[in-house]
Amino acid sequence: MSVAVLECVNLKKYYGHVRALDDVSFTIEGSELLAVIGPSGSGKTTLLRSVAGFVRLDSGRIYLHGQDITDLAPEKRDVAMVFQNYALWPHMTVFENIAYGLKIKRIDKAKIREKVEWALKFLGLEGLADRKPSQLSGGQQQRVALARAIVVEPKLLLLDEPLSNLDAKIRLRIRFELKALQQKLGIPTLYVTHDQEEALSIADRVIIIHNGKILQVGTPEEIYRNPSNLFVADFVGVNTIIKVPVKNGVAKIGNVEKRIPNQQKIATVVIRADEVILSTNKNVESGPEDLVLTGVIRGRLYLGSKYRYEMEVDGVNEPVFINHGSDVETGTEVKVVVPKGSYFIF
Amino acid sequence: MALRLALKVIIVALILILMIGPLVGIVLWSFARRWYWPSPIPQEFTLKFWLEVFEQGRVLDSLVLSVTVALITVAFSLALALPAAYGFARYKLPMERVLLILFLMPQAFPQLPVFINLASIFGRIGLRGNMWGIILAHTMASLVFSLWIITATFKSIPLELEQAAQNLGASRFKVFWTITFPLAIPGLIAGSIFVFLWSMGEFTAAFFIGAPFIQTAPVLMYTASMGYNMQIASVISIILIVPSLLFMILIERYLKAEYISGLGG
Repeated sequence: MSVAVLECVNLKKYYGHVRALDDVSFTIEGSELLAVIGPSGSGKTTLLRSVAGFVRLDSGRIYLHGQDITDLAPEKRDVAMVFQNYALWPHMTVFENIAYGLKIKRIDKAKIREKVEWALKFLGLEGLADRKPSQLSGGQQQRVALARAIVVEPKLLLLDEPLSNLDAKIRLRIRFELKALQQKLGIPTLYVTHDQEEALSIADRVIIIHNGKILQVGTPEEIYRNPSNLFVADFVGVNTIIKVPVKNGVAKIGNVEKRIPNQQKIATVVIRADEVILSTNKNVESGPEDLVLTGVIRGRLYLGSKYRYEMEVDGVNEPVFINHGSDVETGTEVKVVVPKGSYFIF
Repeated sequence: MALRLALKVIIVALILILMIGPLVGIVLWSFARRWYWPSPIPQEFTLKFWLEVFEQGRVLDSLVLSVTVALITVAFSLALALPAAYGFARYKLPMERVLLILFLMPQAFPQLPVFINLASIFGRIGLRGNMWGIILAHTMASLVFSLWIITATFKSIPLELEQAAQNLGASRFKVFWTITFPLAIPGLIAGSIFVFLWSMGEFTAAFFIGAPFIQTAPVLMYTASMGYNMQIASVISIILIVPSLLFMILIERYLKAEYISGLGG
C-alpha cells in the first residue's frame, strides 16, 4: 500500500476551554484536493496552521509522506501555504516575491529566472514582474501568492480561504482556474474555506468540521446527497428547515413517516428548496419515496430566475419556503413534490 | 466661505509664528550690535560676532564633538533597541508595559538630579570629562525614543509576512534580515532622527559629565549666554541647526522617500 501524502492522527488543540481541534484524523492521498469546510471558529484554520507548523498541537502526530513532521520547524516542512490575505512582501517586486523561496534554496540565478518566468506565465502574470504588490489588483495579488507557493514545488499545498478576499464575480472565475491549475500541477492540496459551494465545486473530497470535530468526510456528491446529520445537511445546501413533532417515536410530514430511534421530541425535516416540483395540478405524479406536501401559497418573492414562495402546508404549523421557476398566484392551492434524496429527516 | 478662508489663514499664520518666530529672533540677535526694547528689530547690525565665533576654534571643536557624540549615540541606541524592540513586538513578555515604561525613567525625572547623580558615578569610574561618558549617558536616556518607535514599527508589520517567508524555508535569522528589517526601515529612520536631534541639543548630561574638560555645542552656548553674550549664543545656536538639517536631508536623500512617507501609515 502506498503511503499517504499527508496523514493526520488524533490531532488535539485546546485554547483554554475552546476545543479548536478535537481528535481530528484524516489523510490526503495521491494528488487530491481536500477541502476542509466549517463555519468560522470551527477549527479549520487551526488545522491548516498546525500542518504548516505555526500552531503547536497538544497531542497527535502529522506525517508527510510517512515522515513525522509534528515537531519540525515550519521552515523545514516543505509545505507551501497561501495565506488568506496573501502576505505578499510589500518591499519586493512580484519577481522577487516569487523568487524568494528559490533563493532560500540556493538555486542558481539562471534557474531561478527560468522557474519564476514559468510561474508568471503559468498564472497569466506576464508583464507584471517588476510591479510592487500594492500596484496589483486583488486577483493578481492572489495569483502572485499562488505562484510564490507552487514555484518551490512543495510536497503539499495549503490554501487558507484563498478566494475570500476577492469580489464575487472574480471569485467564481478563479475558482475554476484554481481547480484546473491544481489538476495540471498534480500538487496535493489542503484547502480551507467557510464557503460550502466553493468547497463542493472544486474539491475531490470534503471534510466538514464543527467545534473542532470532523462531522463527515466524503466526496462532494456523497456529502451533498447523504448528509450524515442536521448540521451537515444545513451547511451544504440552501435549505428549508421544518420542525415536526415526534409521536410514539415516529415523525410524520405529508405522506412520509420516519422512525426516530432516540428520545427526541422534535424531528427536523431539511428540504433542498431548489429541488422541489411545484404544481397546481392535484394529480401530479410522484414516486413512492417522494415527499408530497399540499397547501396554499401565502406569499412570494421574485428572485430573478425563480420565485421564492411562502407556503402554508397542511399539518405543519410554520411557513415552509420553497423556490420554483413557475409563476403561481398567492392564494392558489398547490402540491409540492420533493424527490427522494432532496429531503432528509433527522 | 470667506470666514473659513480667514480662519485657515489665521491658523496657518499662528503656526508659522510659533514655529518660525523664535528662529527669526535668533537670526536677528546674531547680527545685532544694539537691540533695546521696544524696537522690533535691532538698532545696529554687525557681523562682529559671527567673525568672533569662527576665529575662536573652540566653536568648531565643540560642534565636531556634538556631531560625533550624536552619531555614536544613534549607533549604540539602534544596536540596543533593535533586538529589544523585536522581543517586545513579537513575544509575550511578562510585564511588557512595565518594562517599556522603565526605559522612560531617565526622561521621566527632572534631568538635573538624574545626571548629577550619574556624573558622580561616572567620576568614580573615570568617565567624567570623557566623550564616552556623554555618549553612554545619551544612549541610556535616548533609548526610550528608539525603543518605543521601533517596537511600534515591528508591531505594525503583520506576523504573516514573516510566517510566509518561514513557510518557504527561511530560517528565523534570514526572515529578520530579508523581511522584517527592510520593512522596519521607516521606524528605524524615525528613531534615529529623534535620537540624533535629542543628543545634539542635550545640555544637562553633557554639562555635568563633560565640562569643563570637553564642551559640546549646547554647553558652549550656555557658557556664552551666561556671560550675557546673547549674540554669541545666537550664532552658535544657528550653527547647531546645520548638522541636524544635514542629517535629515541625507536621510531623505539616500533612504528612499517612500520609506519616510510610509511613516504615516
